[in-house]
Amino acid sequence: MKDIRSFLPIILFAFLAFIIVLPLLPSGYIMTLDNISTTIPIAPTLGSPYFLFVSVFWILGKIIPLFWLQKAMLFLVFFLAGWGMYHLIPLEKQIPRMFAGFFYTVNPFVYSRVMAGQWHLLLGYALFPFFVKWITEFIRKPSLIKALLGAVLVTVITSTSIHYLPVMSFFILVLAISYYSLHPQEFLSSIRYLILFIAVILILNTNWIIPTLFGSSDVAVSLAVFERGDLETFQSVPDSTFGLIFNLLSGFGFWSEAHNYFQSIKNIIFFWPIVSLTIIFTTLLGIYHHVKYKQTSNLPFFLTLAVLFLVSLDLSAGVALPSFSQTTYALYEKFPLLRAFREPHKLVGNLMFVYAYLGAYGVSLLSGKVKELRYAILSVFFLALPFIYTPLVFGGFWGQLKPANYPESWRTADNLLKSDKDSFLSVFFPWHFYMRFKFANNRVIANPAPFYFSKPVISSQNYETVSLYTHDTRLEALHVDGLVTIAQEGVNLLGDKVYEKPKWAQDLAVIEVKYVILAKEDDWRKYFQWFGDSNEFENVFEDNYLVVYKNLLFGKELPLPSDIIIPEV
Amino acid sequence: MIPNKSSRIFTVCVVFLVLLLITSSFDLALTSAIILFLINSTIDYRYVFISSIVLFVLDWLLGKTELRILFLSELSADAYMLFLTGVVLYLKTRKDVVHLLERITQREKKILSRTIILKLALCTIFGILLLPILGMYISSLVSYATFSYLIKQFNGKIAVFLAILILPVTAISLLLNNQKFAEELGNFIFFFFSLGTIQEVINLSRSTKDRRIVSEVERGFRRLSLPNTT
Repeated sequence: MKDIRSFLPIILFAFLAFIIVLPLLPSGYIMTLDNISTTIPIAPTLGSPYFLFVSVFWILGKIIPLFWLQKAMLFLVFFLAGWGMYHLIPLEKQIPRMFAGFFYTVNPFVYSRVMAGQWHLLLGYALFPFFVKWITEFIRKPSLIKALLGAVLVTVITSTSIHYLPVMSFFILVLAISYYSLHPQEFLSSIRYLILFIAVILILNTNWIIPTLFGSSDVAVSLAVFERGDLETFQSVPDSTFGLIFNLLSGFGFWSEAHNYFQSIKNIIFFWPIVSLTIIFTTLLGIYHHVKYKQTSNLPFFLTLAVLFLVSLDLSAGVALPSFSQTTYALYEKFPLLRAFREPHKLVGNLMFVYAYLGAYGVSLLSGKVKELRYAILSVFFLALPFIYTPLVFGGFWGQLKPANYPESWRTADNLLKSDKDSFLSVFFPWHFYMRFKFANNRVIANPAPFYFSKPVISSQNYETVSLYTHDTRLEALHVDGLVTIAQEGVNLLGDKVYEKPKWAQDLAVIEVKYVILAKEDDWRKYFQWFGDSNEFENVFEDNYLVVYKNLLFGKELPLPSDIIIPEV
Repeated sequence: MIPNKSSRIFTVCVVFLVLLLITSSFDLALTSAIILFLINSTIDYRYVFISSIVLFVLDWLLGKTELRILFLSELSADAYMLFLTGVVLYLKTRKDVVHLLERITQREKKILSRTIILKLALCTIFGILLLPILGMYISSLVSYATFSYLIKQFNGKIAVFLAILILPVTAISLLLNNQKFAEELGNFIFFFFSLGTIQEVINLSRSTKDRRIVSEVERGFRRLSLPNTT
């Protein structure tokens, strides 16, 4: 009987995850902002921190259609988050543990990140309670097995979301300092296991740590190209009535909320401040519970949670908080690891973690004060609270996410490129990184073209915001970007006036572009004018979704542009 | 526990690396690490004073000649730090001072016990983390209140002590031409002095009230002709 009971939470959280994912199960890809999936699995890169995760995805992608893997990933996000948090709470009462599990699974942070397509980050978020459970046990009773298991767990979490590596490192550091300050006699006996744990992590992650140290990995490049504009573009946003801090404390403030990329919870749950205050109050009760009952054995963990909460809140406010903006810039300059959080709202996930954990203690305290009917009412209230706060996760995320398939024309265009045995580049227009695609239920998504087509395709990677235009350093992309800017604004990338219009066929042939793929999305008509009437391009395919032009000057000997002066020898 | 030589060297190296990372100032990190090593050593304080003077002279010469040496940023700060170290090392050689320190540390109730230092450090971190959210004064107030709660004392002397503690830092800031920081510290000094005064006034009114209660009880005893056991 006891065995069956221990399985009940697993069934419960699996059921919850299933209910959330169910409307998304029909055949097709879920495409939303950064989450774009194509028919071809992306091959793993050895020097990437995501090598392990992408390898698993790549291998499974050979057997199972990728859209199933996508949905399995989303199911795991919700299931692991709930079950992990339930598992972490060291209370015997079921209601507080379930509240913690439900709240950690369903909250505004998770909703906004699902809608933003940051499912990798959410997988890290879902695995974080398992890490916390492990570290609290490891620090009390370290052992060889625990050290090895912990290193594997940290590697797995890092390979799903590298953003959790600094969070985990910080958590270990603060917990170790607070624990060994209270128990200094245990430090010497534990140090060898700590060293072993770090050494194994370093060994398991050598594939990307070493290239990063030498500045050649994707991580190193991302850290190197970081600039102030990143912080300004991706800063957290305040609520128009309640300001920044309360907005962040309530799990809101994600920059994409301001761009209306998805429906805001605030539009549906107009009483959200009351729900938010209830959760904050429950967390405060949890703190009171810790202070009142002086749980000294739990004190280092409690202190770590407090520090994690405040640091996360400070940094997630970051440059959006005028009084803290200069300090934030300085911190990001001094500590390059912080640049992993160019979009600091990711740290709000830690606030949700603290709410879930301490909130469980708050619920436990309250439920201990009442009996029978009141207890039942209180239990129902707290179990329903997360769902009242974030009902938009149900019904296919309030009808916003629907499985979608790439149009037949994309496959035709791909076949056309594949049938051409030359070595060439293709350019994908409109020249935007993020845009609305009709086939993706008219949602704004990252351009999937470079991943979809079997032959190399260059498309824009420009953010096109006021404070951050691009981080793109690909020469061909910069060349096309310059041509687009000249054609549209009459200036080059340096801002100099250019009176001559681009000679598209000739200028694209220089960088070996044989095909131009123009999707009939967004501002496509502008591009249509450039290629449609030109006799140097041949329309080889067209339907309602896209047009494919063949550059007739590709491979021809090109006359040198008139403004190039060749020095005499 | 007396640290052995290797652990001292290890600590010095860690301090050097951490300071180098935080301040990006090679000379400051190096001087701090050297000072940490010297404080626990038996080195003659005169050498430290001489080093300090050499640094002062070097700083003056560099200022005059407008020469720049790679990795050296603020030699005058290093010189001041070495000078203060020299003072500490000198005081350590004075038997009367050592005796006084021993008497203070051997008192039954230590003013600064390990637990209190830990709590103070904790509340300082707490205050710093609250600073961006609540602003300078409210975060200071909250962390001070937390500290008072943790040490179970409502004592204005603590706030006054903190204000006095900040005073020399303000002076050093002024010496280093950091006017703005010194002004902010000045505000803090005023804040803590005010806080201490308010606390002391509250304590005074409380003790007056207590005395009144005691005298009323005594009067009651007299009226009932009962023996006074208070």
